[in-house]
Amino acid sequence: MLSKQQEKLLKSVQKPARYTGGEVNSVVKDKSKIKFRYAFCFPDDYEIGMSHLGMKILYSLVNAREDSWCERVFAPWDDMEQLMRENNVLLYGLESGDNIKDFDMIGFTLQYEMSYTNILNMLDLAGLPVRSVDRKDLTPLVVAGGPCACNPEPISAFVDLFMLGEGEEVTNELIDLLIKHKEMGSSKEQFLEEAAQIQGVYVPAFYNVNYNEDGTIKEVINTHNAPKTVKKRVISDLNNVFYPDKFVVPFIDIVHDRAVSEIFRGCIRGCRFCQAGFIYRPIREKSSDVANKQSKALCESTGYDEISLCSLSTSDYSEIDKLIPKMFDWALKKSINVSLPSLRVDNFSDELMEELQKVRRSGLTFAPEAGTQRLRDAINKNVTEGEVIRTAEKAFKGGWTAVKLYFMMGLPTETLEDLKGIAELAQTVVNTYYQNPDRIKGKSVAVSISVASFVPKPFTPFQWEPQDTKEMLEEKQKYLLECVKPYKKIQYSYHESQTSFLEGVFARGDRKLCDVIESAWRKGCKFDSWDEFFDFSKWQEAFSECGVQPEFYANRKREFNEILPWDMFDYGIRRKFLEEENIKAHKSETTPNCREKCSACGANMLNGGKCDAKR
Amino acid sequence: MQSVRIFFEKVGLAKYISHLDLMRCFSRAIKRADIDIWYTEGYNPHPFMTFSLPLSLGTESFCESVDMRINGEMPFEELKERLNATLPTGIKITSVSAPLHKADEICFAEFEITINTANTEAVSSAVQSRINADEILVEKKAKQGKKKVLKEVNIKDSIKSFNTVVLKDRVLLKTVLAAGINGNINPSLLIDAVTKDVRDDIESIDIIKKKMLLSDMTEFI
Ligand code: SF4
Repeated sequence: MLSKQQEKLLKSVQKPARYTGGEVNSVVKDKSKIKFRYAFCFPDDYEIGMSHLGMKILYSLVNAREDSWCERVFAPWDDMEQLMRENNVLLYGLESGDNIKDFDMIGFTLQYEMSYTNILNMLDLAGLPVRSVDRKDLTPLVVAGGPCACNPEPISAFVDLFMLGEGEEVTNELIDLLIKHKEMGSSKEQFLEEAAQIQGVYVPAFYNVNYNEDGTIKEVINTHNAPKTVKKRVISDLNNVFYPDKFVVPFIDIVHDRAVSEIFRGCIRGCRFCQAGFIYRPIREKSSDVANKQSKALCESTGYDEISLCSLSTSDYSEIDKLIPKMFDWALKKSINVSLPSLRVDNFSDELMEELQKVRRSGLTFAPEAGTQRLRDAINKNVTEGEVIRTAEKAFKGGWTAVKLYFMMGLPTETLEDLKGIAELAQTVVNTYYQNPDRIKGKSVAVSISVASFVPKPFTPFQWEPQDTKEMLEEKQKYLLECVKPYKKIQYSYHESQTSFLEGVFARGDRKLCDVIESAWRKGCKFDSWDEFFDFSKWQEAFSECGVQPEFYANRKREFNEILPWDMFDYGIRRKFLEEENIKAHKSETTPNCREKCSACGANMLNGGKCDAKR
Repeated sequence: MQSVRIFFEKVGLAKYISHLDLMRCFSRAIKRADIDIWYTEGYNPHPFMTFSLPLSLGTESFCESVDMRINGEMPFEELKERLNATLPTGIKITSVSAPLHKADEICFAEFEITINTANTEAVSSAVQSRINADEILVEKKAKQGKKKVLKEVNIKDSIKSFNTVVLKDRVLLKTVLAAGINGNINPSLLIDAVTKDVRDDIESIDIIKKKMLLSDMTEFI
């Protein structure tokens, strides 16, 4: 329910349905029966935030509690923000229209570093001080979780506590605790002291960081009885963990507008550049029966005509051959499309290929990530050229004519030879198409290569590596363009902007960056992942005003003995394991995937020694 | 197969659902209601639905309609109930029937427009004098070759009737405007034109479409 004043703004904004609430399956509760109100905030626009599975899970999970009401909040687009500020309308929850500053808890999900300024902006729009120390009351408590919480230091001054790892259990524990302390009339500090004892909870105010003269960390001192290392949370049984049977169905078109079925967490591959491949370990699978049942329930409650499987690598799901026919069985009858992202066709049976051909499908994507075998070995992307070609052959036989290949640039140990390899590999795929005798005559193949620049991330074997500078990347890009030129069937796109430099700074940053982020936000930075908003010059000003050198974080090589800002977090992966993987990378030595052989990364210990990679 | 015409209201915050989004909204409601509707044939089949007239964003309506075909038979009353159980708040089916008229027989639409203002007298007299002028010029988007341009057009002749009622804190306008394929007037364009001189006095404007009418002023059914 919106107030007159709120509704008035909607008449002059683009896409007003972003701000109305009232979507099917959105949850409205009777305020008088609620003890706890939670504003779940996604620090980007409605279309992106509404596409995010984690938010859907936690929204339904909190709303399943009788004593609590969770509402959705997204970053208002520029036009709406202006009107809100001009008319003194504060940031409100979409379900109730109430100002979130009156809620008990405000939670942000941290999906990418470039959304940090939006967090400050949303707090400000809510009418709250952006710094944790300036919010004296117990409520609203400002919390955050999500993948970037594995190094939350750059935003540690703004958030009261972080939740590390998977949120299903810890969210409920925090809510219980906050309700208890609210009833006791506790101070914020009293509450935080007890919260810090919950596994997975990191309260930055209880850790003092001292620095060496060169700017690296000297020591971290824990206070208030907070644990020396904070261990992330994992859900051990995916078959029995809460999963929503309803999604809020948006009115406007969003980025991923479909039902989503999560099939497993973690990844068996161990690609050394991929943060997700490490921070979501150990591997835990859902049974195909459970996944199938959940998928069906979601389609029925939402009316979606598409369901997508969600995981880091669909075809590594050990029951994929069972799940797909089960789903097709009801989906086809109801004209529901089953989409299978991050699919590797190479290990698919022929029957499965046939099943897949029954449904419409988009172009095939494949990610060799690097152009030569040597570099693929170094990053542990265990894909050979032969496999790429076999996959392409199979796909072309199956009727696909468009293939998209993903690569990275700026990987550790990369040389020009590796870049040339990108162009050559793409051309090999083109050739494969024309060697297929059954190809549809007269139909041309479209092979596109998409190249992103590599950003080293915490909790990966490359966490010590320097990121390529802008100049180095520009050189490399020019060279690759030259290499692609002679090949006419290849379309080349490259996404490089200063955003990946900043992303690198924040990914491995420390607390000194809090001032920089606040300063940049005060200069007007927001929606930094959007080209139309991103303004690097403002960021440069912010860095120099705060006396912080961004290159120190992005382009500097760290030694193994350096204390890293995230060393106080335990994500299950042994640091020694990451060091060994780093050394192997520099020798282009591979590590087998987890299904072939367990490399004792340590993550299974988070789950009582259990890891579903081996079944 | 059964052809049905479904009349519905679109009120409250549902007025911010755009025409394109409304189609998606209906097709999902139909799926949730487990109604077996007819799909178009061809490479990319989609549920067949046609809306009589698009409604502009921000306008409420008591008289929208959509036609579709149901595979098999279903009593009108059941169809109505099932859909009402799955449609979002603000969209409500008022009746289901077999289509009688063709959508292109629609000639007029009746609107009720509420201008919320503290200065009712000033607003109503400003509106009156604009309405009684020989010309009412509005800017309309038009295509000139490939370019989109704004063109000034006189819509005086498209106004079939126009009444003003002054209440305590608002001015009520009742108007019948040309609608349908032979010329369609967006009421907010008209309102913009006739309130030009008193913009600052106006707090907000609500528009409700009340009826769709044929050339003889009887209702479209
Ligand atoms: S415990 Fe072994 S199998 Fe499991 S993720 Fe770690 S290395 Fe892989």
